[in-house]
Amino acid sequence: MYIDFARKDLGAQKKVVCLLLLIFFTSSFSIFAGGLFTRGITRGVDETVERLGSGMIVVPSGYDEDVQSTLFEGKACTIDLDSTWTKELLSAEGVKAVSPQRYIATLSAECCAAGGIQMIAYDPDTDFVISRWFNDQEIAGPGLNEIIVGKSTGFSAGETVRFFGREFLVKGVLEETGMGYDTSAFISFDTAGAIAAEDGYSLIYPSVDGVEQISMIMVSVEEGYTEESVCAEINSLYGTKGISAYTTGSMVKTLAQKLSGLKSVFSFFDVILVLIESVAVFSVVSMNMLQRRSAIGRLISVGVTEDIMMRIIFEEYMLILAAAVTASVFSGIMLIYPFEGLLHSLIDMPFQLPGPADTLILIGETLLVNAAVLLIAVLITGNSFYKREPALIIREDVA
Amino acid sequence: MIIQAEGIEKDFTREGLKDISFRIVPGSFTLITGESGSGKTTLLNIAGGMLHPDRGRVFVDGRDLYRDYTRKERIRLLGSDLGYMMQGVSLIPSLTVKDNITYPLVLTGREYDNEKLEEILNQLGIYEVRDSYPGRISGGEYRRALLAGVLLSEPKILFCDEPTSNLDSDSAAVVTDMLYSYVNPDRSVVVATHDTAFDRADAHVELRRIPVNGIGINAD
Repeated sequence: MYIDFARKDLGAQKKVVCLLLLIFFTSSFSIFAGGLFTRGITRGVDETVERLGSGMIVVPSGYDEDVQSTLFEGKACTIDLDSTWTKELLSAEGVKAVSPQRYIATLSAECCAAGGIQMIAYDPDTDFVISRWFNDQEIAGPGLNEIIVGKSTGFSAGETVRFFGREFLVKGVLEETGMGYDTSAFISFDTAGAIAAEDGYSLIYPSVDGVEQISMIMVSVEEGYTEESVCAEINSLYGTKGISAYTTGSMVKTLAQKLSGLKSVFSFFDVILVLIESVAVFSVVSMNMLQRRSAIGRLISVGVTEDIMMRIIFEEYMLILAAAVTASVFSGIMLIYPFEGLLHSLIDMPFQLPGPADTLILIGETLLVNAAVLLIAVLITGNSFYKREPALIIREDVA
Repeated sequence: MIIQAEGIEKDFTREGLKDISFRIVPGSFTLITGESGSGKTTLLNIAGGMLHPDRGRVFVDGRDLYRDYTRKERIRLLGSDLGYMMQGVSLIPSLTVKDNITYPLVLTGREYDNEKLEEILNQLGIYEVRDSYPGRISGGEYRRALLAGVLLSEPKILFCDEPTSNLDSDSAAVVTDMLYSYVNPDRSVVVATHDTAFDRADAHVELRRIPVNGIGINAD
């Protein structure tokens, strides 16, 4: 019944309703959309940390940024590193296991179903990173002419796709990682070798002076050693010979720093926005209560106490707020969800949209922040309003 | 219910109330008259619990209205034992006349008798406009709707501030008759007015304009 009265009452205050809707919508949209964005990156970074686990990555010196942009942003690149480093690294102190990977950028040409996809050849027998993900999804490693694709490639399990002039059976789709792997496709070294054996595709898995070229080597560390110490050991031993080792932690640390900076910027703007919103809401509420003073006065004169009045007014504004938050959430979702891939490509960081639970929490937070602003505005305005004698609320010149 | 006002004083910039005392007893009709600016509304506000006097006291059945009652209790009293048809108040434009009358009771969790409501609407001649919105009724109907809202809670003491102002003669007659007929052994009415249509009263407080710093009593 109150809601019905409130709805009717709001119907007669179209200007105030429009003004508050605009203020609440702007604020809610910024908080919600900004929250989706930062949480998307946080989730992407968290997922990256979890997926990469602890360990090291060894790449040709000077290619660390290329590898990072491939891993985190999905930018395709081709990197060459002698495969002999695999054995060399295995002999270094503290190294438990090594697993090579070959990164090949696909071409947007007749040979390939899609360009810009990062093809990753790996060794299912020695791998201790990627296989774990496939095992979790109960996808067996790719055999000859089989491929496992990332979530954002657009391919589906069971379909046949063409890369480098060869038909591949899509064996499975890796669930969303928020990392570069979402736009990657995984093949075995056997398949890479078979492609390279054909005319015109030798660069897929080339040999230089009889040595096969890989792109990077994943390294795991023996118990009793830390990633940092083994990393330092490898860099001191081989740093001058053209390779560099990085702990996954140090690579992710850069991300964490970028994320922290981004969050600070968003938080700063959120605070500024909420302050501006508070002033605007306070002004509109004050103005509106003054406009309604004769109606409020009449209710007081027939026994409606101030706490009831405040509650009614708050509930009316809450209806506006609820409508604004609903519209802003809908707009935010419509704006961000369909363009997840575009956003990911623009921000140079891992990105994975929050799940339903996180999104609900974010909606709750958006509503809560705005409701708090509204409550404070109503309380302050109401208090200054009701500090006066009841007769003076209606008119100052009561004599 | 008895209201006893003793030595009421209120200072305003230009005029004020000086040492006003009166008593409202059950079954009485009290008139407060005086020229504009003499303090009729102020006196009614003070007696009705809406405005603190600067000096003096108002007792409701022996309890000091401004010392023994909290602000909230005073407002609650207005919706039950006391009723006040104020000037300068308005109906909520988005609610029908009927909803405007019943809304305060709904808000405060009080029951109302629908038959009683219809009787009041009929007596005041606004039954036909009960489902109309305030913007679509005449000024006279509007004032009568305000009065109906006060009458529905059947207060023991009814205060009315200029209840017939801006009313045509027919509407004024309806309101005047209604107020006179409201009085019974348990109920009393206090009207502040300069309308001579109120020609009968059990008690009469006449106010004169006096300067705030002047000396004298402004009530006869």
